Amino acid sequence: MRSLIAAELLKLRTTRMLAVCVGVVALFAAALPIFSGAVAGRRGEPTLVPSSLADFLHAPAQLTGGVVLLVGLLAAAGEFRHRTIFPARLEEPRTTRLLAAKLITLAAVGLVVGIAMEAVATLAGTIVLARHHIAVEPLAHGIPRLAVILPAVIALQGILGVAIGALLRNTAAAIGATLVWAFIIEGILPVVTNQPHLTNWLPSGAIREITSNHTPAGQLVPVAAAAVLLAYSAVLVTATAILDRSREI
Amino acid sequence: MAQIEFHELTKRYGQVIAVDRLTLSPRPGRITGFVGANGAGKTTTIRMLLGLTRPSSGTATIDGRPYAELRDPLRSIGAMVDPNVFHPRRTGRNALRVIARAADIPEARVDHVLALVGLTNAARRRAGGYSTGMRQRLALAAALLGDPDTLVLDEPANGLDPEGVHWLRGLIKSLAADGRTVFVSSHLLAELAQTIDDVVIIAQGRLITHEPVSGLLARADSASLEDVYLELTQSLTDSRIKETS
Repeated sequence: MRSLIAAELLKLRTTRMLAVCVGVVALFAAALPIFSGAVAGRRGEPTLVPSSLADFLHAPAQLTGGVVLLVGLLAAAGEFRHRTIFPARLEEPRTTRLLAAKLITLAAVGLVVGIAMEAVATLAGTIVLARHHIAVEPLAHGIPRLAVILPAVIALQGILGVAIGALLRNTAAAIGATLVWAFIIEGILPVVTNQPHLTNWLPSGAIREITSNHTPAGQLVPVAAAAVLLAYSAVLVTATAILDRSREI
Repeated sequence: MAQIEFHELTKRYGQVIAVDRLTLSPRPGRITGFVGANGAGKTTTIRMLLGLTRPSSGTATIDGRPYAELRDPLRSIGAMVDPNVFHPRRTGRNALRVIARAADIPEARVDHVLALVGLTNAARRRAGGYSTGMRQRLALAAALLGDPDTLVLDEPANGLDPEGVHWLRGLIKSLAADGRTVFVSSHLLAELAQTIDDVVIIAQGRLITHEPVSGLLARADSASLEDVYLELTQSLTDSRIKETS
């Protein structure tokens, strides 16, 4: 398994995809505090306060999660697009091990990218707050909790990406299905079923709830939301693993 | 030396029978040509051997085990199924490094096989910029990475220029001279006849014959493998036409 994970990491390192994605995340994580600092207090924009550091950490997490999901999705579906699945299956004919290696690798990548995003956002946020003479309080405002949770959620999105990509085996279909699910189905379902709180039980809602600092009535507590997201990941991964054993390439 | 064995191997796609109760076992230490027209079932047979396609019935084994149950497959059997299996943005060397890393093969072996197939100078170029012949060579390098004693090559001469075909012939002969078993499919009969010891002829998924080339030519009283092939397969085609009419 170690060799397979090392090979998966090498695959990611030997194309530009991961480097470009990490660059976009780092740029966004750095740009957001700088932009917020530049517009703070102008034209109705909120002024900076000590808790802004938590916002700087929280804000790029959604994009980072989306990017890691995309990397996972392309890493898995791309094997079929570029037909690299053939040598992969010859190296390791047991499909479950192959899938597990990719899942572990993308979870690790998600964790590292999440931590890197936090490091960049914290550094940029600290500089911006200091320049505005605002106290930097990294151990308050729920920041330690966010620092632990965000990389874990981003790692989980890497797993979801791999599962979707491996399930659909087609990059365009996988990206399309993910976008349709996130932006259309998750929006329509609560309306159609007349259950507005259903949104909390869907993947995007669950991700939102896990990282939320407060839980209004009707919303999931972070632990429950994490369990929901884990359940979605488990179902997708299991379905992919079962189908992979019976499908030909 | 790994022993390849097909037993009553059958593959159906709906009403179409791609491979029909194929039973054969290429002799270890020899070059066996796997000959048949396009669509005769050669690639399907090889894909079933490598676990890439599931047989409808029968078995395809290596040393008595399906490919999926081999402990260290790349060191047992080297396979070339398709030259277009490399990420276009990855260099040829990196494409092999990925395979070597997954199979715990030392990286020095990557450079060795690249030199063996004559790709050292192009090793750091992206595979997407390779010509068909270069991709064939890279796929062959991938098959040789684990230094296996058995090679399964599906149409390795496809897309090669005359110089490339000449080079391939020499390489296959030198690999066999090292004691390796080579199972090579092709429909380029004149070319294959210069390389192989034994021939397996299939038509419409069925085994027509499996014997040494010299014996087959002597028995048919012919100097050309192509003539013998056409004679053997024509009778089957005629009988199928009669069946359908």
